[in-house]
Amino acid sequence: MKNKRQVIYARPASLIRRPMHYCEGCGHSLVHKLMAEVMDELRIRQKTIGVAPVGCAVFAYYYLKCDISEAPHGRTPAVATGIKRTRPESIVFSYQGDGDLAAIGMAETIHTANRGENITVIFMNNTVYGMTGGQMAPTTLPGQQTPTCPSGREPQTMGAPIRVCELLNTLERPYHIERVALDSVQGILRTKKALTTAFRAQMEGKGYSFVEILSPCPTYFRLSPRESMLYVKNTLSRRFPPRIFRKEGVVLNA
Amino acid sequence: MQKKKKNSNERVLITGNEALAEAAMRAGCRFYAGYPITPQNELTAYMAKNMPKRGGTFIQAESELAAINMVLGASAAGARAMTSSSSPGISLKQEGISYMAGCQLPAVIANIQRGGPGLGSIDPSQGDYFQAVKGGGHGDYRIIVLAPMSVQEMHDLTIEAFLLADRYRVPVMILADGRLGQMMEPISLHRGAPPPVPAKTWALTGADGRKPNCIRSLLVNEGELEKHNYKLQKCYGAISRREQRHELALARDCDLLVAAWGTCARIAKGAVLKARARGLKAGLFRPVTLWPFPSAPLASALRRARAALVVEMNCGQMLEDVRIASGGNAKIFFSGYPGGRVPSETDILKAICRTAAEIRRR
Amino acid sequence: MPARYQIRVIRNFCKGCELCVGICPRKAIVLSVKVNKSGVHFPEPNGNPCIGCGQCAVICPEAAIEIFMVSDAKKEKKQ
Repeated sequence: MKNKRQVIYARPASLIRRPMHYCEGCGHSLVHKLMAEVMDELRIRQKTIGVAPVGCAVFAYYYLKCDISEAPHGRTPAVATGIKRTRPESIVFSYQGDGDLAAIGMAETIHTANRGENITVIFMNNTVYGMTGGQMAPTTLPGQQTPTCPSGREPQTMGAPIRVCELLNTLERPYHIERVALDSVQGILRTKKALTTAFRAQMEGKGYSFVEILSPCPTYFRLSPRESMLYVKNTLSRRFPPRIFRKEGVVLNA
Repeated sequence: MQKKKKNSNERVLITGNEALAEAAMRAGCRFYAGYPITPQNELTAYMAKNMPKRGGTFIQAESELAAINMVLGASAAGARAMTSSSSPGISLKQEGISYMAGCQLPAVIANIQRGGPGLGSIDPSQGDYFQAVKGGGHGDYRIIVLAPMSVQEMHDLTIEAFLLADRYRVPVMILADGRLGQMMEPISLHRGAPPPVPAKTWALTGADGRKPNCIRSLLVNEGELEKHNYKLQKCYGAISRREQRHELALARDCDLLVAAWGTCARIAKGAVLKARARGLKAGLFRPVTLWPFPSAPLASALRRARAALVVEMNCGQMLEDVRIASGGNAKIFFSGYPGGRVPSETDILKAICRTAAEIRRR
Repeated sequence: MPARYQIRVIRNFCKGCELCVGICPRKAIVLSVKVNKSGVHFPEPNGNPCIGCGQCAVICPEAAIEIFMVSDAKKEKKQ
């Protein structure tokens, strides 16, 4: 009897074959997997150059099989700009968390988008600073408890959560701005679609693409991986509505 | 850039800032990112105008931080890249410089010094010697520091800077000041090909037909960072052995060695000649590389002279390195001009005479 | 010969998040009594027919699940 085995889904080739250090149920692992799939499908691994952040994903270079650079905290898009302007034929991405993108790196985030650099910026929004112990981020929700707002975030003294997609949507130059959520299988598939759109836009030289991904952090949500995804769906998505904000250079209203 | 007459020698009348920028492009620099700050704006403007014409990239970055990090990225991707700023802006760049040193990324950074600390003034000063030579950023690293004293050297040392940066994979700093940056002198422009670029197999060019490259300075596994530091130190040792540069004038038969760098050395040269004319046996020691500091030639000159007068536009920074080099074999005196004051030849001559008298008294 | 689907779990990459177990529409995955190198109970097929929907592979954060279509109903390969 012949035993024909056909692969329906295999681990993507662009994902290095080793266990990832992220916590169980972490959004980073999921998105690394999706990015590897996209690099495989678009056949761009050999010309992709990534910039990893300071944060839990500082070790992205252990997992993604492409050229990668470190960057000082928050300067990721500036480093990406230097790389892209030097090697315009490369596909360059800047992969960042809350602190890197929306706190210390906010100026770089805004100005890289404003210049419309032909790169892809991936924003992993999990409302906390994971690597350093779950501290308050620019995206932490009011009332959310963290080591630096132990009584819960008070907007009057600590500011309110920042909606980065909406902020960048006021700029003229970005080409694609989208928020997606890792809250279900559909959410994961939509995230992959958003990443594909973004990388395709870069391949076609269309301009700056930005994908904000609402991401579970079971450790600091203090929920199970499954409950964390539900939290992303029911709570985070209410504050940060997932949708396409800018498509093909055109602002889309809610 | 004003040209008196275009001739085969390519002699031009040009400011120090522009001479530096022109040299960078002639050295093969094709990426510049910078931010406006006095007194180096002529450099940024020159790059804005000329880089695109040479097929390079000019970016006015959103901040000094962004600029050094764009240079980091461009260098990581294999380009000859540079940025420039002045004292407070260089403070902002220190993190980026430390990262570049840790990642062994070549680049050139020009500091056209102004008065400090803090916002200080826009007048020239030499207050950043410590920052440039003793670290500036965090961690055990060194950068090569070159100190021009004329517009010609602003040009020539910049060509050297790119060569050295690529040869050793280190950041190189041109430590100048607002006077050098803005004065105009006739110079000869670099002719011929840029210094050859070594093969950069480590650069981020896309993992096509090779294993992916990674540019990083984070080494958390046991022993890794220690090993990396020894590797960096070995490189710095090689630079120390091979790349020290200095100038000695009238130092053989000399009772008082004037030690100065940059603009101060230029002014001190005139003062030393005037002192000689008065019968005082003064000489001049000028380090061209502030790091690696030419300690050995200074030490032998001090053993002969037995006394030194350090002249700087600060409160005493190279002074400490001169003391170390002397090893107690010479009396060290100091004449400092901090806060944006540029000494005149007469000021330095008076200091030489005062010091000579003091030596006789002792 | 009816087509059958099989999952294959890379045991040592599993962190025991149980997202795959929860998402399977046919309850065809359960946590094994065995543990992997990290002491984690990894998922394995329990014999209920897998329909090859792929959701477990999509939701697995570690890319530890692979899916195959097998045309021979008799042979079963374990990881």
